[in-house]
Amino acid sequence: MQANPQFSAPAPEQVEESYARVRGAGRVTARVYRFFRHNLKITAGLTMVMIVVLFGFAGPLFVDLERAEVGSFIPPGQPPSAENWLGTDANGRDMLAWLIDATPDSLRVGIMAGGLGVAFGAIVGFVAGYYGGWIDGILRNFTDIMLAIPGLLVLIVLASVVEVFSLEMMALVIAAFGWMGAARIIRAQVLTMRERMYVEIARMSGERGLYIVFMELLPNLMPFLLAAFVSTLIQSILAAVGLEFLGLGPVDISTLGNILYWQNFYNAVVRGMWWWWGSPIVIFVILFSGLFIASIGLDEWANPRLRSRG
Amino acid sequence: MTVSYVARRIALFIAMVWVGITLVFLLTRLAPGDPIEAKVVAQEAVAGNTGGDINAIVDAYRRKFDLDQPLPVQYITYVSNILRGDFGYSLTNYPARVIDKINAAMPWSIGLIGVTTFVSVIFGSLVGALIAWRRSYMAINIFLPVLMVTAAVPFFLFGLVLQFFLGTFWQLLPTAFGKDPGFILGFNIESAWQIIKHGMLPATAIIIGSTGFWGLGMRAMMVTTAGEDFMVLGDAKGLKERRLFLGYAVRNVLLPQLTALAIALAYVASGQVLVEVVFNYPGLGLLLRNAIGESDYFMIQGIALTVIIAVAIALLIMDLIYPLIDPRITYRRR
Repeated sequence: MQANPQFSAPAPEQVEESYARVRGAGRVTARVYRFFRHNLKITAGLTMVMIVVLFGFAGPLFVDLERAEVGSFIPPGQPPSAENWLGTDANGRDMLAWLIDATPDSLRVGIMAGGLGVAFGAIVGFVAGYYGGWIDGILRNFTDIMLAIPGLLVLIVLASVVEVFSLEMMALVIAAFGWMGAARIIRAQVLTMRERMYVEIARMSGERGLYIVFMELLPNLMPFLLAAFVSTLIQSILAAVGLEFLGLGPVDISTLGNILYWQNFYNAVVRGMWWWWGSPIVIFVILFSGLFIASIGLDEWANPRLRSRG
Repeated sequence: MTVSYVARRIALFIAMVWVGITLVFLLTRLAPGDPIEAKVVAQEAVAGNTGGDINAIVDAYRRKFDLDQPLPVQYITYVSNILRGDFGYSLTNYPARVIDKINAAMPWSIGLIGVTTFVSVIFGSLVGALIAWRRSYMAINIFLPVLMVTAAVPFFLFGLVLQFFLGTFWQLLPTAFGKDPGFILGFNIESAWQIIKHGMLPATAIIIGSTGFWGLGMRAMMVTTAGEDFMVLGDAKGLKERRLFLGYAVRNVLLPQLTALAIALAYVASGQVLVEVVFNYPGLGLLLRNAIGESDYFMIQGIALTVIIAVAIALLIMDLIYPLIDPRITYRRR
């Protein structure tokens, strides 16, 4: 590499300023605050998600979950009242307690499946993008093929045969059909990054492929991985809710999709029991909108060119 | 070059169908549990055991459905059966063939997906383009959060809300089935009215859900197009606003939007199945719901395979049409 002829020693005040910036970096709260102020979509989205998370995880402190058991309240099927804030279902379960019981498990499936999906996708994307050639050809075509197969239907087939379906197993099979988006994003990024100078330098100084991937590429890909994680999370919760709504999820665990299955089973809509299907929908709208807005925000943060003017 | 492009697309189509079929085969055969045995035990529980040997019945079933053969042999029979359009027999309605039931349901589903995709692509693209267009009325911007919510929430939840308000509460539209019970469809106006009336709510639910998807995609692409040189040139030439919007911006974005249709098809098809379940719509969704309720494994597999193959065919057709309508796509490989 040729030395840049225009390079000269920085002026003392410039040095002072950059040191000040480094010192400022230590003030974590200020940085975090600045990040959230500059990324309003992430802030708004995460706030909405946190509302749902708090509802599910802090709810048991205020509401007795035993109220969610079948036959707790007689007569059943009552609209919201002072005793049952969100009413009761056709079997006398308190809706509020049932929802609080169900929310954490729905989130758990999404997080497990989202995490696994991004991990699968990242590995496929890394290998395809970094090694290129025929490996890339095979992996890229396989990704495209998997993307075009309606995963939910294959999941339905699988879930209908398996007798005991645990939460973890459902997350695993959902992840098996949810890695393609992440793989595409990561592959595209690795393709551009592997030609960059710092990777070239690492390669020339004799570093191994794996070292370069983990030490040089991975840190730069974190924003993209995070964005991919959130969109995979959305897809996974969608798939889980779809399966549960059809009555194919774990039967012994309360999840939000499960509540929707039972309201459908007991024809709550036609019987006018709006609180039964209405309250899970409110949670879904807050959760999905929050996640979606956060994922748009993360995409823009990872790739500022997407940011629209005005 | 055209020949090699077409050959490549067809190869991809075959690979897609093959992967789908193989996945369904492997997952069902390798999954723990024995559906036939579970089924027979369940039937016995309902009917009461009259002292017969249950294992003999299970074995007979297995022989009947070729499940006693080694796995590779099963696989070959399975694939060749599917290629001949034979998905086997329904387990619960035994003499009925899966393919006949699916054929009866298909027109409903195809009609629904056709109409809803057509409407939501046009409507969504228009709204999305207008939001991104700098010189639209500011009022249109309130649609952005609306689109975000509709894109994020699964289709069938809109179905529940619509079903309650329009069906149960105000009683404007029927909440279930494809026609009134007992009505016999024919080629007449009354039949058309029946179909439209019953299709209204499921269609609206799917359109609301997918409009957000198309709108946001369109908006994102319009934002990038707005910065292109040819837009600046068009502006400098003093072209009319309308021409700049429709002829310069929208025209360039519309075809990539169609490419997105290919990716979205699998997603929309899955979403539609759930909407059909909500409305007991007589398409594949209701068939699937009943099959799940009755543990009719062959029916469930048949439906899944049908959707996989249908999506693959739709993709193949679209892939072959693109180069004809978009001069920027060449037949050559990159």
